Amino acid sequence: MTYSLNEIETMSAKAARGAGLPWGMAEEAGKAARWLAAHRQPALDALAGLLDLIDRRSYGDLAPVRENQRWVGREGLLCAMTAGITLCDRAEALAAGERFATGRIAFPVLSLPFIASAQRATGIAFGVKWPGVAICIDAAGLHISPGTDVRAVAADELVCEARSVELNGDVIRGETNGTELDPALWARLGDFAQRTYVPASDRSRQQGAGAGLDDND
Amino acid sequence: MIEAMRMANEPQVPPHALLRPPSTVMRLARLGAFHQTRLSFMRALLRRLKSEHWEFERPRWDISSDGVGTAVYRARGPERSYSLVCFAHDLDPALRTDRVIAEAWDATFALYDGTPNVGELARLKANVPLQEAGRFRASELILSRANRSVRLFEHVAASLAAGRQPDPEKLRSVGYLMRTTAVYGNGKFGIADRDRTADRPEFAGPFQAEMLTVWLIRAFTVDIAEHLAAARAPTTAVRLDPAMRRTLGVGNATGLGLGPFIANHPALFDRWISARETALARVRALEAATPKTIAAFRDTLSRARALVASWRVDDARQTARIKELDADLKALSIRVEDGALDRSAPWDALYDWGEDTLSLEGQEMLVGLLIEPHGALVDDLADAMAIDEAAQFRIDATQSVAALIETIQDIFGWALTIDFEAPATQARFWYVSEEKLEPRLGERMTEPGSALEQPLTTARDVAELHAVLKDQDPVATLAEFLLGHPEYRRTVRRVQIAMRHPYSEIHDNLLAADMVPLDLLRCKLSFFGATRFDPKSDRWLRINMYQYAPFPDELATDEIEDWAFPPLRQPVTV
Repeated sequence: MTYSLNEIETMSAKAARGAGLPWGMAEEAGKAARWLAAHRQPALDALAGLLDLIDRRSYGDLAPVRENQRWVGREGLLCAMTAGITLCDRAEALAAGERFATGRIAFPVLSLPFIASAQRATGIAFGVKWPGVAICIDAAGLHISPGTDVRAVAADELVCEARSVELNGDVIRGETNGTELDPALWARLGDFAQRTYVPASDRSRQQGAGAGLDDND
Repeated sequence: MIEAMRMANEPQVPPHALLRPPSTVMRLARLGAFHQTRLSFMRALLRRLKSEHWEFERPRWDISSDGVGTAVYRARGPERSYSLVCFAHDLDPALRTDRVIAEAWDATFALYDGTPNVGELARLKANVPLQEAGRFRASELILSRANRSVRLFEHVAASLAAGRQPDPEKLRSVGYLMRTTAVYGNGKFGIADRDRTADRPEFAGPFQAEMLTVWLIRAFTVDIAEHLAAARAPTTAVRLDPAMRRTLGVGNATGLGLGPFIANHPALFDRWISARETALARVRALEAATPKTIAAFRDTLSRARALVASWRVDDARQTARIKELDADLKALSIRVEDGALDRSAPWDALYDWGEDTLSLEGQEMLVGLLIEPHGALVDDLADAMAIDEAAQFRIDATQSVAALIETIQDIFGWALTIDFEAPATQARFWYVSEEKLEPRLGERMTEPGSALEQPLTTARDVAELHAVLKDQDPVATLAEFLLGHPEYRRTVRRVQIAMRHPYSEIHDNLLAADMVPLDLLRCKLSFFGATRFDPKSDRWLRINMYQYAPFPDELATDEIEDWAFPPLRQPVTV
């Protein structure tokens, strides 16, 4: 089934909220999923996997901590989205030459939209590497060698630096239309999103929206 | 036109000095008193369609004698064409409801990008009538549906069938043959994302594809009434008198969904308000009024009075407001006849008088009237009402805690004075029902679900953030603060958007016991260009869209400059 980018963004944000992330991060998850989908990267499987991993845990368990010049997860595995957010918050320092390195990280592909956001904010091209993957993000889009597999469930480390990767392969630009997705994957996110809705009730139906049910006039 | 431009260049108070401050404009009660202006989206659309010589035709009319079938309307512009695909149904009256939770309608519509072939029409026929339960492609830009006004539709069809024009009083009291109950855009149910069409000049402004859809639907509502009349009585049936036809708009029934939209698009909302406020400031900055603009102002004022005099609703609150507005416009007329415009900076003086004298309804209608005769001075602002919201999203985490505290105190002072410990300040919560994901409003003390509150909570959140920031190291960056407090990312983002976009935030608490949700809905609808706000409760209203506008077959030949105000002499003959 083909889903529009707006559906992907909305569903991802709701699902992230349903998994327990605060609103601001949930919105960031939505934008990240949209960016990945627009660049035809595996967005929702990574997001669904990540939400399974962090489901209903407190952010304290996920927050990156700095240890020997690396960002690591408290329990040994870092969430790529919180890592991406942390990276993007430090875009100016990265643009000025700071190196962003992590310890073991789950679903590293989810860091890409945040690096793209850092690129847009600073105008500086960034390179990102994790084992088996080297990607450059510049104003034109995503430079990635054909055949690169970005779907790793986890990587031992991720390093992002300004201008650190040679341009190679084709540039992938963001599309403006939606993309084909597995409905089963959609349903997995839907299960998370469902948690954000208030169950139906007669009172809610009659008073919550404040209109009658019959409009034969 | 040239006179207005020349005067705008004369030495004077610069317009930006006359901008109304957000503390005045962004109060919910004032936003809820907004009326349409010439910058409203349906007016901007018709100006473009006319100036670009768009052509309209009805390539398909395959409707049975009992009113069931398919019709296609095509709008052809300089570069592209669009088709409104209409499906007319035979609806059981027991199923007719304007609520979003409905599952069947009198008519369903899709705006198609280009011209659908037979295969595409078949695909649309299998999906469009299902609305939310159907599935769509990027070739569909907009999805909509409408129900007949039972009061008026049958009367019009029966009168025309009998060879008579309908009763003008009945026409006036309803104002439309059908009501749309949703107009979906931007990727819903698989239709095209807005990103896909945002670079087309005709759809660069906000909601232009939605407005085109509704305008074409209006033509369909009249065509199907005339079709049924002719089918019933081929020998006696007549067509609707063109002047009467102009008094028919498209109705719309609208619930709470518009409220979250405004709250969730702060930078976009700022663009809308900013355009309207800039237009007002430019007019106020004019050093003198020309005879031509004075005559146009007087003419529009008389017509606005006729509009208000015929604006009748059941709702007691709105009825009282209309009565006040009526008196306001009379006072305004007297003021103008007494020579209020024969002085320097006349528009500014008239605005100041209005602010001191009129009700909020009156003041905000005055804003529209002041802008109205100054198209050459303000119409460019209609092109500045969209924004790339994604570019506004990133937090500047290099800002210091101390700087953010100062920003909050500067621009959210109004939120810091609210006592959120008092029950009345948090009496309500906004939520999304699992029923068709309808946005609703609950009572926090007595209803379940407040744990699932939607974030229309900016006032409370900013106050909380402000309190938390005071315990932080003031020289710390937001990057450091947010690492430990990600729950404030949304609020920090909004504060920073408000720094750049002064009209982005409503300066009121949307959770308060005395908050009137209608005010949010009406504000957005005024930007669409809707008129005749008709509250059915504090969270639900009906409106009229495109009343008095030219129809597609009239656009090329008719004057469209000020169509939103009714013509003074009703040229209707019965």
